[in-house]
Amino acid sequence: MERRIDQSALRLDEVTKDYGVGERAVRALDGVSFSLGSGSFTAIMGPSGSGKSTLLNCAAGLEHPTSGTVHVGGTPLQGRDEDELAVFRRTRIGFVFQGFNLLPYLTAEQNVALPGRLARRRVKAARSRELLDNVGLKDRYGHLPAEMSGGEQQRVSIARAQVLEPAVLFADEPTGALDSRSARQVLGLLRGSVDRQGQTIVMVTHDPVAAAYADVVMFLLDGRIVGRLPNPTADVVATQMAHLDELAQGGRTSVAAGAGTEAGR
Amino acid sequence: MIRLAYASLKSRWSAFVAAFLSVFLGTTVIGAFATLAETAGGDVSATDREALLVMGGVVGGWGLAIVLFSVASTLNLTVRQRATEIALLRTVGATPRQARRMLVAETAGVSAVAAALAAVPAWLAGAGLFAVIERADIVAPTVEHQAGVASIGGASVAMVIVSALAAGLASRRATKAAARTALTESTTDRDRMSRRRIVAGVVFLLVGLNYSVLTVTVMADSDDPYAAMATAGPAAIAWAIGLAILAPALLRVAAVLVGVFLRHAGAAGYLAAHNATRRAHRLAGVLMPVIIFVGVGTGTTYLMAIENEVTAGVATSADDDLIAMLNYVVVGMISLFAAIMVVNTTVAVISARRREFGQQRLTGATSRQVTATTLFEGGLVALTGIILGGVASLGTIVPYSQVKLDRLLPDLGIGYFLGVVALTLLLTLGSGYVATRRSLDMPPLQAAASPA
Repeated sequence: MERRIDQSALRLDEVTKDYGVGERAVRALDGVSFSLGSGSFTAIMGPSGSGKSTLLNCAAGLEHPTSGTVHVGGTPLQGRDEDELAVFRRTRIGFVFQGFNLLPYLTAEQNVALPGRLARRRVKAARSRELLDNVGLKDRYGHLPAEMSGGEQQRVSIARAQVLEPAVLFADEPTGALDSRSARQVLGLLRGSVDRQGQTIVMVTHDPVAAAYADVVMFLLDGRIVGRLPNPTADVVATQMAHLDELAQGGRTSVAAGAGTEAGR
Repeated sequence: MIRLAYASLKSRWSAFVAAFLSVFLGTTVIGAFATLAETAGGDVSATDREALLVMGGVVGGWGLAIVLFSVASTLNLTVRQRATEIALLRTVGATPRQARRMLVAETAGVSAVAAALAAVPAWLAGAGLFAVIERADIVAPTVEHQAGVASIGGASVAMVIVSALAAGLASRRATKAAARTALTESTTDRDRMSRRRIVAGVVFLLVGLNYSVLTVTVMADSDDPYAAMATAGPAAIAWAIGLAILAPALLRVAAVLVGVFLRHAGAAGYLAAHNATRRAHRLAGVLMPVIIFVGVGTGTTYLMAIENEVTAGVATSADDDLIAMLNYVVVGMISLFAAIMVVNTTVAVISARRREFGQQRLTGATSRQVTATTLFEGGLVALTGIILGGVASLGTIVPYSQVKLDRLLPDLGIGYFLGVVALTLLLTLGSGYVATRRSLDMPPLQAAASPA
């Protein structure tokens, strides 16, 4: 499939998010701006409390930013209420979470087809089975989540996230609850869907090995993007993570590999 | 362990309220009838003693059966809802024994407070009941109402003991499996009903059948005009309790049958059908009080309506009217209790599903679709409960009508039954709607990450 890097799949402009009001307000995101091309795989890294999850929630329309704008596939998210956002999310955004979030009383195949049902779009049985085949679960169609391992459940949730061909797939610590072998499988699947189907993926992680599967790593500290690392390797990412403070003091500019550009735009 | 129990209590508000309310109201009802028995033990004539013992013991005895069953099943529900939490505790090193002790200590603590606070309402309800009895000239006007430690204290202590026993039984089930299995299996329960449970259900059904048959065969020939009522009344109660004990299996059957249609009612109907079929055990917690409410409510209403029809042509004394009123008071008390239990368990079951609602919304369900799902489930439960409760009520209606009116069904129309049906739908769907909307207040991501 031809890659279309020109059109942005996700764009954030000066996004700020505060929790609480007055003196007790905490700024979780502080003027974050970036644009991601379609068919790109971006990892977001940062220490605990750096605002990773808040960034992902705002970008995915799960939380309203205090100020700034978010566009997904060219469509603005602001000015929509919760139900409108839910309707938008289910067709344009896919989610993969650390906790899998499969419905316990639906089989693997039914879980995969569920977003289609909720959106009143018919998902053919062949389609959900094909997605399950793609993630290596050919013999698990009729299994309930409780009958599958964590790695298998996560693979079901990847198949589910892609069933309606979303503009962006968000993954929040997708390997956080998995053993290293299952983690490699899951990351390989995510990488494969970028390479083969041109899927756009944004992944939050704290694991340098996971981040190395991405095209670009963005580093977040105190709610700001402090660096950007293309073509990451686990070693370089780990080194960079250990010196995030210096990066922040040196201004919001280039990092280890030297090819970095200014984080915004 | 006690401090842990307290901390866990704080994080489980809805389960706590459900347990508290059931014990509080249960103690009020039982305590009120117990005061009649205590009064009978005082300085009263033999006939007064017998009258009071019949009221307190026989009528109150069946009220007691309903209350104990409801309290035990509510506590069973609140304990089982915490299977994941218990499994988690065990994976960090709590022994099954410690986990059980925590659950029992917590339940006993809540029950003790609820039972103690119920002393005043129990005394008031008992005094009210006695006032009606005295006005009906069932006992001599010289008899003084006795409501002391023996009746109200006894009822409170009994309720606390029953609560602790119920929690102990439920927690044994919750801690039976290996810790790790418990953690994964708590998300679904495909478990079948235990053999003990099936036996208990069948025994109650046989007791009900026995009362129904006795009404027609033995009591019909009795000289006492109230003899048939004494066996016909409890018949529906026993039938209802029997069916309620077997509720999980019966609900699964209903879900499979109705699911054929429900599956085509959009995504909400689809989710409701699958949840009801694959997790019938959880929804059955709501079905049980619905069966009791419909069965007891319909059965006793028609019982009294038949009685009214029989006495309609005959000139009635003021006493007869008061006895009728006394019946209404007693039935009203028990029905009100059953109605509150319906609301109580509905709210407890739905509030515990916050995490699941978050997951549904993250998958793309709008809050309207989530609400529609729980309403479909509520409708299924109400429908099943109305049918089963209706069947239970026939255990009273058919034999009593046969004895008094000489035909199988009274010619009273289905108006009363429709009234009970409307009330049932209002209670289950109304409380289900409010509880679901409240659970949707939390943002989906937080909800999905909250403990199951």
